[in-house]
Amino acid sequence: MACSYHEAVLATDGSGDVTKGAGIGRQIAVDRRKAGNDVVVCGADPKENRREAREIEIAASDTGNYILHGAHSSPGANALNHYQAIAPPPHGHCFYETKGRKAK
Amino acid sequence: MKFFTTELFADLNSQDEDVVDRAEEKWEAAIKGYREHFRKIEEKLPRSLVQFSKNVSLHDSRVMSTPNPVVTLVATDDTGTRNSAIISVMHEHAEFYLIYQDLVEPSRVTHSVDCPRFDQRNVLWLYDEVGLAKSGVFSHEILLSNGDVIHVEFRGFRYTQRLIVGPRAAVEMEAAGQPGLSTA
Repeated sequence: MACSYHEAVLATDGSGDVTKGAGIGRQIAVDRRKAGNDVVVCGADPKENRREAREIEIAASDTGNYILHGAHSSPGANALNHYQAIAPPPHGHCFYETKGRKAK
Repeated sequence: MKFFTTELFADLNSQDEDVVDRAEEKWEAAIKGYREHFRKIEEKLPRSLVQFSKNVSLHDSRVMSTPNPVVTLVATDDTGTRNSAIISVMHEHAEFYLIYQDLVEPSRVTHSVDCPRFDQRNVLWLYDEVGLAKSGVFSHEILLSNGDVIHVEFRGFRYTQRLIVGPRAAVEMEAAGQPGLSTA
């Protein structure tokens, strides 16, 4: 099953919640990451989601200097795994859904 | 670190997809394990440390004064001499000062694994774990984005945040339920 790409909003209350917004095309997802905005890759296949999120992050970075962060550990946190630049820019995150962690 | 180890973080960033698959599963298990660990010790921790752990997320915040981010202070008064340690972290809207009181032993910084994704240019707070070393003695370990792990053992804890934003942003933080300036 194909992934879907969405605008994303990361909660500022410390919960780590990621809310998915409007569906967007893959290239727009890359452009949003280049601009430092958050996006989320959703779908039923976690490996495909991760692969797509990594490819988007690579495409958004001039240097390919990306890193994968596991979901945050704080008690109560509901974050998603995500790729981001090792040394921004771009700022922001490319989140992806896993088996047990979904965007809201 | 007992749960979010440097080795596990390095595996998450392996070039081998099978290694990453396994690391993702272990990471989920680590989250569950840490939450259970925290739940078991929560009542024995200082309230300030519980409040910090539950309410403050410093993930991706810049750790100041690297490569030696722990500042140790030796305070002497009529009751004796005590060591304290301070770590300062620049968050999005505030600078946090974590103050560890009555150190049991000198703080340490270790580096157990090399990974191409660790970076010295922009050292960020990644993950942390609090623990109960023994009755009345607490531990805090912090994994940084350069692969270093800070270890501190202490008897008391407080944290302070200093706003670095203008009045409008402060109002927005209050509206979002985040006090603009607080100490615990």
